[in-house]
Parts: sequence; structure tokens; C-alpha cells
Amino acid sequence: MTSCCEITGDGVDPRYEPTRFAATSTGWLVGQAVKYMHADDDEGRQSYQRATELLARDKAGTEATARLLKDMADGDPMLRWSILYVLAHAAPTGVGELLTHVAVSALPSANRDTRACESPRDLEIMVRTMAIEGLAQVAERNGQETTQRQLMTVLEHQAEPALRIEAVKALLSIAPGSAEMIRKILPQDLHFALDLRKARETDIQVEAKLEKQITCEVVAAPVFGQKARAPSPTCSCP
Amino acid sequence: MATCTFNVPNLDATGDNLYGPRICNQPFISWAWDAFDFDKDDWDDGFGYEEVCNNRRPLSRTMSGIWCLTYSAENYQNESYDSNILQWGCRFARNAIDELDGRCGDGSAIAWSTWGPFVNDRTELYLGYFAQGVSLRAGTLVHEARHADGRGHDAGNNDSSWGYNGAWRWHVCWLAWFAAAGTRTSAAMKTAARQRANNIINTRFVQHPGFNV
Repeated sequence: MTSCCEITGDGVDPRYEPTRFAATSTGWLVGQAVKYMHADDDEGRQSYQRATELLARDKAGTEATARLLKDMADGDPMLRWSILYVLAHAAPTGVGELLTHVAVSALPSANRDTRACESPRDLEIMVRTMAIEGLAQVAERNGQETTQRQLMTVLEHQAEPALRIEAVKALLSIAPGSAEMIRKILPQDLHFALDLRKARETDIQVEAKLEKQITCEVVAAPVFGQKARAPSPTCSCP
Repeated sequence: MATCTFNVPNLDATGDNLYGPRICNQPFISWAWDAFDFDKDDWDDGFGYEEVCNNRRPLSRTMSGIWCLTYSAENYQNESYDSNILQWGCRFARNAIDELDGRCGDGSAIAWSTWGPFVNDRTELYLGYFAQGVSLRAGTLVHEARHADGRGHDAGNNDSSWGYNGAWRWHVCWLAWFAAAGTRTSAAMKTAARQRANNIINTRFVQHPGFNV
């Protein structure tokens, strides 16, 4: 029996199923690129480079990757984001159409829970943001005019303001003269997106001022990579 | 007490195969455990207390977020509040957050903090938090730390303006500095941080600040 004040945490069952990339040679290549995209050594970075180079030359690259994404349906947004990141680097033939399809796909409805600052929907917005940025990245191989048309499609069919703003940024980056055309499509309340500037260092400064009264500051982290030693107190009190 | 299933995302995609081995270091684990006031009861029963180095478990994934928050500045030992938030973000977070608890949640929120008089001050992390990429987890900790320090949102779940200096601004600033100057990470991890920062700027301020990062 638990007492009134005993803390009882939740229980969780983590289930891991490795992604089945190797069903096709293109899938395997995408898997290799995803595996090495966060590499922190030269060998790994080179492996990422090679995988995307091969993917760029793979005639079935876009179609096979589209199937891969379709099989994932709504699962694992970070993996879908990663695959789009890889595609944007590789730019296989016909990738613009796939990126457009992802960019305009419907989002889950917004969370009305007042307790939620961030929600899983935010990752879905990121997946589509990567698709839109990817479109701008592949513009050269995909064709400027085609890409411009595809981004206009996103602007017209994606209702989420954050994604419309991304589409505006992408359009202006590949076709700086398209502002007037964009203005005609964009709702009035988003016209500010045409004048967004890049943040300056001073914009992203914050003055750190703890509201709480701290009498005993928690000590700093151990030196990176330090070997095990006897535990020490983590509070540096006077 | 709730029980739930955590469908573990691809470990390469989230960066857990990069950061997971790094957190598997006793001095770091001992320090982070105390600094963020983890308790066994909040992190056992599948959350990973018994195997902190298993990057499929929520505890390891939380430690990775803390590692990213702690060591991403080149000279991370300079935590002066006179420098940028990438330098002092961890110092602020570990002092502001009273305790970190792993919970199932109901699928609607990533994390939640409560604070104030006659309240058990705490920050709860839900399944959606553990499914994020590592750099996004670090950003969430900064956001929740701002709440834990006593600053809520002033326009529903949004902030009225950049000048309000709330949790969304701090969140954006950490992500932006990480994207611009973060070290011991990958280009992809920085891209994710930059995109998340812009998504926040473009949707979470009633009065848009007029820039993107």
C-alpha cells in the first residue's frame, strides 16, 4: 500500500524496430546516408558524401524513396525529416515533385490543450519545413521555373502560416523578383514575410537574470570526457 | 501511475547514436543526476534508471539533451552570464529547474513545468520529448527552465512579443546560437535547430519580431 505522499512514477515499455532500409538498393543507400548524416569524424562525413553522390545518380532514387516515406506513413517524424535532408543534398531526378507532395501534405490538427507549449505537431511542421527548404536547395538541378511553380503550389495549398512563410523565403531565395506575384497569393496578415530580415547577433541576445533567489548555485559540469572518480557534491555553497 | 509504450525512433536520425556513447560516462551521469535533481522513482520502470547508457530508454535520451546543452559551446567552461546563451544555457537551466521527471503524458504535450508557492515545483518530460532530435531536446530544456524560473507565457501558449523576454525567446536564442556556433555536433543537427527556431519565431509571437535566423 502506498502512503499519501509517496511518489509513484509512470511505467514505459520502449519498443525498437530497426528501420528496414535494405529492401531495395536505393533504400540501402538512403539508410547509409541517414546513418552517417550526424557523423563527427572525417571517415563518417566522407561516407555521407559518397552515399548522397550515389543517390544523386540513382535513376530510381526518387521513386524508391517516395515508397520508403509512404511506408512510414505518419511514424517517426525525425526519420522522415532526415530522409528529406538527405534528398535535398542528393537531388535525384524528379525530387521536386516528391518534396512538393510532402510540403503540402495535411498537418495533424492543432493542439487545444492549454498546458502544451510544444507538441508532437511541431515535428510534423519541421518535416514539411525541410521539404520546402529542400525545394530551394535542389532548384538548380530541378530547374528554376519548375521549382518556382512547385513553391507557388505550396504557398497556395499549405494553410499553416509557418510553412507559408518558409515557402516565401524559399521563393525569394531562388527568384528575388517574385515578390509581387507572392503578394497576390499571400493573405494580408502574412505580408510581413516578404520583408523578413536575417537576425543580427544583437537580436538573439538575452539578458540572463534569474527570477528565483539562488543561495546555492549548482556546480558546473565535469570536464568533457573526464574519467570516473569519487563523487563530489554538486552544490557550491559558501 | 500510467503505463505506456514508447516507439523508439530511428537512433541515427535523432542523433542518439552520436550523443548516446558520450553520455555513458560516470562523472557526467553523476553530475547531471544531481544537478537536474533526477529521482529514481521518476526514472525507473522502463524509463532507464537501470541502464542509463541504453539510448533506447528515455533517461539516456534526456541525458543526451543535457549533454548537448552543456558541451555545445567551444569553450563550454565559460558560463558567464555576460556571454551568449549557448555559453550559459546549461548553468541557467540546472539552477532554475527544480527536478526533472520522466512521464508518459497524454500525447498532447512534449514537456510541462509547474512552479509557485504551495506547489511541488517540477518539470515533466513526456514521450514526445524523448522522440525529438537531441538538439531540440536541449532547446526544450531551456524553454522549461525559463518557466521553472517563474516566467510563463502572456498570450495563451504564445508570447506577446520578443520584448516580453519569455520562454519562446530564450528557446529561439539557444537554438539560434547552437545553429550558428555549436560544436561537437553535426551540420544536420544544426539545420534542425535553425528550422525549429524559425518555426517558433513565425508562430509563437503575437507580434512577429521581423527576422528569422
